[in-house]
Amino acid sequence: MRLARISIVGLALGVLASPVGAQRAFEEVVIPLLQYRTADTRVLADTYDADLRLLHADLRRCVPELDFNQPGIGFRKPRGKPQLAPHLSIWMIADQSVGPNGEDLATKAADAFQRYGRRLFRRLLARDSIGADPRMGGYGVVLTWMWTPPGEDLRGETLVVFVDGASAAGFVAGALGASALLDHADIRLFEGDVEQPGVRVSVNDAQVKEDTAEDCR
Amino acid sequence: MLKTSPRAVRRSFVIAVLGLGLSACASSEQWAEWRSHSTHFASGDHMAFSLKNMGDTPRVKRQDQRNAAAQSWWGKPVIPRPDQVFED
Repeated sequence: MRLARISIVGLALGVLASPVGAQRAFEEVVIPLLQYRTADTRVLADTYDADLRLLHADLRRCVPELDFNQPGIGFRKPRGKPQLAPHLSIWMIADQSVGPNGEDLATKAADAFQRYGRRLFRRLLARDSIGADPRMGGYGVVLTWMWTPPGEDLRGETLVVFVDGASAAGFVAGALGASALLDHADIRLFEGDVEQPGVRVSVNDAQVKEDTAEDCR
Repeated sequence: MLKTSPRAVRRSFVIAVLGLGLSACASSEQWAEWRSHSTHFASGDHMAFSLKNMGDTPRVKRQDQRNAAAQSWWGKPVIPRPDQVFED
């Protein structure tokens, strides 16, 4: 189990882990075109810049309790799978006041997905033009939450979920439960920056939260 | 009359360049955090940890976590780097 606080010097020199604060502006969280390393991701980012702005606005309005990581919005491919088509991806951060509950990483990850999974995927799939693009490979949700174990320091834990478009659409529409979605998904968990392999995330479909605002459903 | 040695000039230049570099890299949020503390580091352990981790991949031991809590280190929690999550 690992956790760290990095000094301001380290941060100023560029080792800074992604900061948490008020919801960040679009320009702060979108991946700049020049930072894309593959043509297929870059062309989608260029084509759908306006849609990414709308996605950012949607997230600020419908999931205001979460902040964006930097980078937080863009077209990415899951680590270790360069052969896949780009996935429209977001990376959000929950501070301690809105983070998940649980005794261990697996139960916290399950609670996090129950709280935010459908709400975040719904925002991703609301961008119809992106979803209809045959160059798209799926969707990615990365969710980091902060918590302080007794006697220790603040810790960041992260759930990564990549899934194909059809499964994500079924999940958002309610045809596919959260547990079934995760069965189809590429899931990874991190404590700090250390991956914890082999941890199974078991969610309760009945506990999956929906948006409460009418215009976010 | 004061005389300035070449060594002192070199040192001043290095400090100036470092300061310029830091001001260019740090965000307003980072400067605000830096200003909120009366010292640059919370402790010797904090300084040692920071200097040791000025690369791209922080190495965090359990003892670092305990020290951070006991000595009230400031900074941000480490989370995965984008290249640990994404391919590109």
